[in-house]
Amino acid sequence: MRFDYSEREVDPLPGEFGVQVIHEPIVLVRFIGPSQTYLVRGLLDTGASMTLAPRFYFQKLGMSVAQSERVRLRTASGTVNVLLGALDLEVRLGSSSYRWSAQVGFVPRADNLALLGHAGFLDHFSVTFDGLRKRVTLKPNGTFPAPIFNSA
Amino acid sequence: MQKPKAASSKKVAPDRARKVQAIPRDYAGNWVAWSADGRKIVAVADSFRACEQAAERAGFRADQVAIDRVPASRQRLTGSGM
Repeated sequence: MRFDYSEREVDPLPGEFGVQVIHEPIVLVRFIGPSQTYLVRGLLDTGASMTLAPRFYFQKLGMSVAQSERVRLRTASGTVNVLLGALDLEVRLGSSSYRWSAQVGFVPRADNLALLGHAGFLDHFSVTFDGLRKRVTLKPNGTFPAPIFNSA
Repeated sequence: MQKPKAASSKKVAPDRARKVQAIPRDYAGNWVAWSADGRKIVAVADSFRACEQAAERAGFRADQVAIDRVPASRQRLTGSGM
C-alpha cells in the first residue's frame, strides 16, 4: 500500500522566504471500538514506541474507563497520563484493506491526530519512507493479531 | 577551482498521480474534514462539531470523514514530542 505524504503550507522559518510547503507521512486509519468507528489521520511516528490516539475519541468509540489501564508515558517533552484500551485498527487503500487488534494509548492532542508508533502499528509492516518522492509504502509482514470486534 | 556541487543532484519528475489535496496556509488553526480516502478536504470550520455538521451538509456522514485540526502556520508537526 503506497500513500502520498500529506502536504501543508506553512510560514517560513528564519532564513526561509515565502510560503513553504512541508510534507508529513500521514495515513488514514479507522479506529474500531465496541460501539462506534472513526476515521482518524495518523502520523507515522518511528520515534513512538506505541500507538496513540486522541483522548477525544475514547468515549465516542465506546471505550470504558473501568476496563482501561492508566499509565504514564515518557515523551520528548515530559510525561503524560495515558488511558490504555484494546480496539481494532483498519487501513484501507483502494480494494486492499487490513484490520487487526491493538493496545492503544489515548492521550490529549489538540490537533486530533493519532501517532502511529511501533507497537500496534509499525511493527506489523515493513515501512519504506521515500523522501524523494514524498510517499510511504506499507507492506504487511503477516503479524496482525486477530480483530476483536465484528463491525463495519 | 571546482564549482561546489550539491549533496544530491537527483531530480524526480513530478508525480502526476499525486492527488492528495495540499492544506492551504489559510486553514491554519481550523478544523478540516477529509474524505474517506484521505485525499480531499470536504469541509472546514472553526470547531470539530461545526466541521462535522458542514461535512454532513456536503453529503459526508460522520463515520466517513476524518476530522483534525490544522496546526498554526508557524508550527511544524511533531509526533512523539506531543
